[in-house]
Amino acid sequence: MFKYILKRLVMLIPIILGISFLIFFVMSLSPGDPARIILGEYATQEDVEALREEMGLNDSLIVQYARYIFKAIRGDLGTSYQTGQPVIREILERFPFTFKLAIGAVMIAVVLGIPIGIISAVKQYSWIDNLSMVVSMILTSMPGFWYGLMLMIIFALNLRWFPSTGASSFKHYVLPCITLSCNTFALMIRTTRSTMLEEIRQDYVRTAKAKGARAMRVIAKHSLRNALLPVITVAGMQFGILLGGAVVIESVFSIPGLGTYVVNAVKLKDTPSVTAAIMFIGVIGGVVNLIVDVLYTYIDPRLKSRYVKPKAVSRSEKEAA
Amino acid sequence: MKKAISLALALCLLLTLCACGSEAPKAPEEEKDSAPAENESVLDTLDSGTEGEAASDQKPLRFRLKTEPNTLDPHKTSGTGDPQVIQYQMYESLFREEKDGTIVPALAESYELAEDSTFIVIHVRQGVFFHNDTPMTADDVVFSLNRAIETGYNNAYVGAIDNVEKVDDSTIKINLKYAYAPIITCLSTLSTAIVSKDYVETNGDDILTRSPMGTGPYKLEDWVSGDRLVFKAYPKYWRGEAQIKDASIIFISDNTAAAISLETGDIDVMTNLSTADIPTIKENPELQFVTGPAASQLLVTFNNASGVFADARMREAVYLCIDRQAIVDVAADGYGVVQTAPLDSVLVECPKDFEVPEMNVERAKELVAEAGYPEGITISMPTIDNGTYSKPATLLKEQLAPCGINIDIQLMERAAWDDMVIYNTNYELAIWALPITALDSDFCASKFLGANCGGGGNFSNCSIEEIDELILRGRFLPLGPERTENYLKFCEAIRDNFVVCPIYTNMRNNAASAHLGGVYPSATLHMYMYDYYWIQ
Repeated sequence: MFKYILKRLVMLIPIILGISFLIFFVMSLSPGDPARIILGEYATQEDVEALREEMGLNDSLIVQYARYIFKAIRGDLGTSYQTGQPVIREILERFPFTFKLAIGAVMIAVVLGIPIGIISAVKQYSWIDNLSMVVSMILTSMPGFWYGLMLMIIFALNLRWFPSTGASSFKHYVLPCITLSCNTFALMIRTTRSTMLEEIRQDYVRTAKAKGARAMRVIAKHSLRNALLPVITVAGMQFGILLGGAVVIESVFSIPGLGTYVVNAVKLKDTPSVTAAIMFIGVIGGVVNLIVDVLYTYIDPRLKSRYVKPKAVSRSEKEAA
Repeated sequence: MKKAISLALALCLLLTLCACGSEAPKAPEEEKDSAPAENESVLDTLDSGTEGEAASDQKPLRFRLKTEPNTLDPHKTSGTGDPQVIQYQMYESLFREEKDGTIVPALAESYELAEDSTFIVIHVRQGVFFHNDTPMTADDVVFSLNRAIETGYNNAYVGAIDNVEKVDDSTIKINLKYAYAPIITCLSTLSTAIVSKDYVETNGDDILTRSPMGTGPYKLEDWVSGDRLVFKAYPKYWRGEAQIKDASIIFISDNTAAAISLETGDIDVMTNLSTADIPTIKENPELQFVTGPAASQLLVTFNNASGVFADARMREAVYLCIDRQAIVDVAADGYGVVQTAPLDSVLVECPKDFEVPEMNVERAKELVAEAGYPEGITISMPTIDNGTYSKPATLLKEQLAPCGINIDIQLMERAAWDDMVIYNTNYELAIWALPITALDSDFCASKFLGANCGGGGNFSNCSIEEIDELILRGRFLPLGPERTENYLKFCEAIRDNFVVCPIYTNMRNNAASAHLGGVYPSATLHMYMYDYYWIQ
């Protein structure tokens, strides 16, 4: 298993290199001169040229990229064009906010979505099933900022239960986490429901029931375990998506996360910040996927054989067998 | 299926009704629970906000801005807006713009301007301290002004200064490259803010990016990246310690969310209020709506040098089609003032009731045909992707269509737009809210100086000898009738050549808690928290 994990981590390197080159390339194509953006409209062309030279922007794209990567290998992800601060410091300042937001959203979605999905499957076509399907349809079809503003108006403005904006206490995260979880929650309900519907119609479930196992035990012990694999995949993928895609919610609730950081950096053509932040999100996404894959083996031991080399069987053991 | 749809719609309706259902907002007093504990951090105290039972003058102030600055270094800040508001709390210049727009000495005790306006002698105020408790000296002033010149960020304000020299321990002399009447106004901008020489030299030139060292009424305590700046009143401030001791500037990018935060009491004052939120703010007795004209005018600008609008007949056709009031009513929801002169309405030299050609769509059609487009023409218009620009752009498109000018609106990000329109003038027609940060007509007029074409800020690419002469003459004239007359001629020349077409003056729409006194709209965003106080 250790070897497998190591192999997966090593596989991340070409992926990250690819991402970084792509970002560098795309940023170079986008309009705007970083030096001019920094100095503003009153700067003379000479000042702009001097700054371009100082920033190394007059070198070819390949030279700029190679310089960046060599520094990155040594742990230096560069300094922001706009703030002049080390990019890694800025990312690490922002990441905890996004991480808490994503974790909170996924937890809400998992804790509520899976049980509702199970009930929907078990009580197919009942009013609970219909209601959950309608709710999940609404949650997937409406934009997140709308929920955000509605929740803010109801729970912050009218009821005064939670603060409207900011991120300095647990209470500040409640509304944004709920808002962010809406899509994932709906997805969890639908995924759990469909996989559970498949599982509860399997022969082994019928057999277990025939052998007198209680319905609750059959669902919890047998069906759910098998149904969980796709659900975990979805949860893991959603976590990765939420890490980089919580921009709108971060903006509405004024949470200083990584999403808004990347968007602002893109607007200001701050290539080092954008590249480093997306590489960082890429690494985290890769690690989350790896964790999900490792989790599979605990849920379905059959999968372990794919990752772990079978133990060599000694002659004495063979003979004993 | 029908049932499901009905249920979905009912849920939607319920959620909307819940959200829109009005519950009278509670007065801040009703929410108070307990005073913040003594050992709470500044941040915790600020978060407790209106919930604390602290005495009114001890209550922290929470000021909302839309965008976080990239730097707090006043000499390396370009552009206008939120960064300035922040820096005004920590830094001061030799002069200061007051509420009414007048310029008064600040870190300058007194000054003498040479008769020919080629140099200015300034007596530096004594008894002023930087936030590290070191006294401000003439050396700091000389260092700061020279640093401002060297950085190259704000040539508009320091471009006229040749050099700065120390005369004695309390006097400096600023030599100008040429006679320049607005020099005092330039010395009131943050581009010429005074910073501590020793502090910068000891800690390196980049230290001011995140650790400012000024002489202003508030000292920066903490910068929570992306979230807020936390300030404490500086007790040794030369005008006396600020009434509000603890303050923070909170960054909320969404205007609607900020308005909700104001209503909930999570913030106390906000800028950039959306026009859609104004009625709600006005109805709430716990809040006050503070508005006034901005030093920013929305105008239709043409590329005067190349392309379709190099032909003056095409520019005139646009002039003849525009219904300014309709644009104000629809695009700005009525919160704007129709503008006809190409100078900001808050400037003393801006002519009142300035006449422009009346609407005449038939004549406009003829002009377009005469210019060689009898069948009409389609023009691509780069437009910044936000309501300030996209709404008037849509109205403009409708208004120009009857005369045969069909606009294809190209929405784009601000940086890309700046690059295309302002820096490279690679466009035909655009809309821009032209801002100025200091109140002198030259800052507005110099945008039309021929020498500034090609990346120097002349976004309309206009190079007309008569206009250039008037702009340069205006720089030598002191305030008075002669200067006013000069700028009237300048406005007429811009109009007669159809260089740009002014539409309306933007408004600074701010809102604040009704318990907060001293809040005023500043055309140039000179918003000093020092002037604010809690109403007992």
